[in-house]
Amino acid sequence: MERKIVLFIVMLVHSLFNVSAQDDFQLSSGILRAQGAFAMGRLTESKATQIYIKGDLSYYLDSKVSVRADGFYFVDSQDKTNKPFDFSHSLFTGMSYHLGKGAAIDPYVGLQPGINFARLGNLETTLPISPNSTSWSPVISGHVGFNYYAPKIFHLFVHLQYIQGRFVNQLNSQSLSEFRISFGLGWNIDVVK
Amino acid sequence: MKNLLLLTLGIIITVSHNSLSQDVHESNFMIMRCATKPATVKTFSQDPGMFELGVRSTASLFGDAGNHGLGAGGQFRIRFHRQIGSEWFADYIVTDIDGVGKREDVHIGWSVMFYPFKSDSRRFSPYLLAGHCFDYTKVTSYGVSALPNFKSERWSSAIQMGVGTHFNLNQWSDISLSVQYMTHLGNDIHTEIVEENGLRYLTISDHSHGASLEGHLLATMSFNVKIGRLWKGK
Repeated sequence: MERKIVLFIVMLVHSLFNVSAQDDFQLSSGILRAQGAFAMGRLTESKATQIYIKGDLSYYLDSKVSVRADGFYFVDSQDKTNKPFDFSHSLFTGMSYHLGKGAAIDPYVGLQPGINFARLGNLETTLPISPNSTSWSPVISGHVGFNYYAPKIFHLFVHLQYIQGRFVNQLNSQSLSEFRISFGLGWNIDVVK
Repeated sequence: MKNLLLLTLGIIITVSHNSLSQDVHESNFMIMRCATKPATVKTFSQDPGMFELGVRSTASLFGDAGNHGLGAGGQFRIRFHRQIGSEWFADYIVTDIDGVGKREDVHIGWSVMFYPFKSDSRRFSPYLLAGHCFDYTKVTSYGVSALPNFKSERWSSAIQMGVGTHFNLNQWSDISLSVQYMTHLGNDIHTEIVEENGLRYLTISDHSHGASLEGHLLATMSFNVKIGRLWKGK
């Protein structure tokens, strides 16, 4: 059964991204791409695994540079016994630099400042303050990834992001440093043509 | 923080290596096409009146308490002359004070940038900057709300000076790195970590009388996009 599912996925991807049809694909300014996916994150300090719903939007200034914004909505931690945050949402804006020659395979690197909004999990205190206080934390992130464009409006993507920051409130501080990975199918249109 | 510095360095080296070996493509950025005349191929515009928007990350280093903070914010730039520009910014910076307190800084200000080199055909465009900002600071001591001064806040003014450089990615965008020293001209919030009976906590004293020259080093990385020219000039 598993083999059949894998075969089906391979055939689906092959039909969507017909290799011979991509020879004439050329990245250019005006391409707007959007995608949504689940993302997995691994906090480097607490070793907790977190699950997010991710959405991003980017616009190509030319075949080399795109501006982009990424949003992560925290769903849950994988392990209930290791859950540093009740929630940890984040938003990033910045740029990607595309290393390829504008062809269908589009590797990129980039940098994004961002902001994180979180609340610590599993906290109890005898102090006369609320343990449920939330906090905004500035973060910075770098990313690598690649897109694989179909001729019309689809692309496959794999995106790896490293986030650096620190959650600080009146009870504790907790590292926000995390690797996040996401992959899936995205949409793209040329808004200049 | 080391990981991030290595990652940033790696990305900048990769980008510079890649982009220095390629021609600059003329962009068809829609906003630019509507708002400005197209720039000449292979130049990085230094036209007066150019308006840019950007996002930025700021690291606060070697401050009064010796702790490092990280901030995020935004900025816009207006170029007055081929060699003189301005940057108008807002930053929110959070610093963890040795696990016993939190410092929050909000900077809203402006800097004048002087470009000593006229060439607009270079990838790197170094500059000197100096300016002024308004500054809100709040320091909170963790978990010791029983203390009379467990938190303190102030508004003050500050001046800053530094150096930086743009790295032009293409005609319409750049990554900028700058380092500046910011000196606060208002009241000082003095903090001290005290250890008693094995407990560490932060004491805060608000020096509300007389100005003090408290300062910190700020390292800023920003990404900027040229939106269009506000006016046409030589």
